[in-house]
Amino acid sequence: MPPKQRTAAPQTVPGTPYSAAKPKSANDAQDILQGVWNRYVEKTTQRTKLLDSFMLFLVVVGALQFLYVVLVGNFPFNAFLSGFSACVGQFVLTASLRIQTNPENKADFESISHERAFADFVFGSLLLHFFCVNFIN
Amino acid sequence: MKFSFGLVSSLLLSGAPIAYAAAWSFEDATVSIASKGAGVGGASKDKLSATTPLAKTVSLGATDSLKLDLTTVDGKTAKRPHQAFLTLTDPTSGLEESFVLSVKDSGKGKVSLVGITSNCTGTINNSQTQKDLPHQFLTASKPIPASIVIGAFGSSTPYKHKVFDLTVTRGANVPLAIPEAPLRYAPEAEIHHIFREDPKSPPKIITIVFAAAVAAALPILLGLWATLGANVSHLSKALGAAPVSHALFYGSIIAMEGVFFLYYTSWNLFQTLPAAGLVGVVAFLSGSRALSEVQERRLAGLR
Repeated sequence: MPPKQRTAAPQTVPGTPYSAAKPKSANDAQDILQGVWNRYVEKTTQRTKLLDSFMLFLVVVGALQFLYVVLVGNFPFNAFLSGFSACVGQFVLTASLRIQTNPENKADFESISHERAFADFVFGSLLLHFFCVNFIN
Repeated sequence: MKFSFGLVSSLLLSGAPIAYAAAWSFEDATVSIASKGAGVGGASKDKLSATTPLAKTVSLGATDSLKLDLTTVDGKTAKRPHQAFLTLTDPTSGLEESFVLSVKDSGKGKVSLVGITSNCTGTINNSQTQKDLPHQFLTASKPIPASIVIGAFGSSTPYKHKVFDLTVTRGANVPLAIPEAPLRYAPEAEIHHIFREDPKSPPKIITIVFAAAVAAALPILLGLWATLGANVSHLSKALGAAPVSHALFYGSIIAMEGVFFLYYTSWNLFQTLPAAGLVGVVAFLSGSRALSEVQERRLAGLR
């Protein structure tokens, strides 16, 4: 998933503003998308891409569960809620970890080290797992 | 002799009322039917006897009025009784309706039933219209026995005998207002309720397919991570620097998931919480050590 680009804040990372990444033929939507993708692959750090792939995995799993419910109905309802909210909650936690560890956001999160963010992520995930296991009952 | 005869006769006379019990009755009774607008002379009159009922049936039409005159007597003396009614009895249901005779002190009494189309003419006595007759009388198929009832305080025998039969005929175009049947409470019909079926699980094959799809997503994720270079090379450096804390941290996370699995399968909450607390403490302590080691490496630019 392409990250949101920030235009403000002088960064140590050579984050060029979005406007400079205009493809040559601006009318072609295909070229725009290709340009966005190339920029994403180049500019995002490897750890951020690891988190992005994890979030993609969570989206796919959540979509599979939702498709299942649409097909065969939602009995038992608590099982669906538990599984789906596990996906959604994990996605939210991963997104917050990504925000906090993204080098482009360093100015916003001076006080929180990456390791502290990761520890919060682990703690939140374990709590989420506990509540989901409880709710499946 | 004359003296004794007079004495005996006076004794007999004075004892006569004591010897036989007096009974209420009536005399000079007439029932007359008058059609509306026919005037006084157009009435059909019948004399009533206290001992035998009238042979013919008296017919009351829609516009007719029935008038009953009599003189009540107690034994031989005309007196006013405490109660005097004309009572109509429905032959099929036994329903009775009584109309009060207004009786003067002299014993003369009357009552009239007036037909539906005429209204009160200002007479002193009660005038009932045909619609004051209960609707059962208006629809009776057999003649309705009408009896006189006379009762009072004292030792005289009261009077209650049928005196004539009444047939009530309605006008063909007069609508009959039958009131609704009254509300009666009784058990309702039995309810045979069929409960909704329990919800069923979907067919297993669909569930298996989707579970396999979710399970297949996991190796895809791992492969993606491997493609991105999942920092496995850092593992040796990390273990070299702080093996215990890294192993404990990773192991405690796995153990926590194991506690959740046991909670799902067999444990109850009171067994789970202490175990989770213990594993959590281990994770916290080892994690702070392990992550500070990671931070050193990150700040050194090695990550």
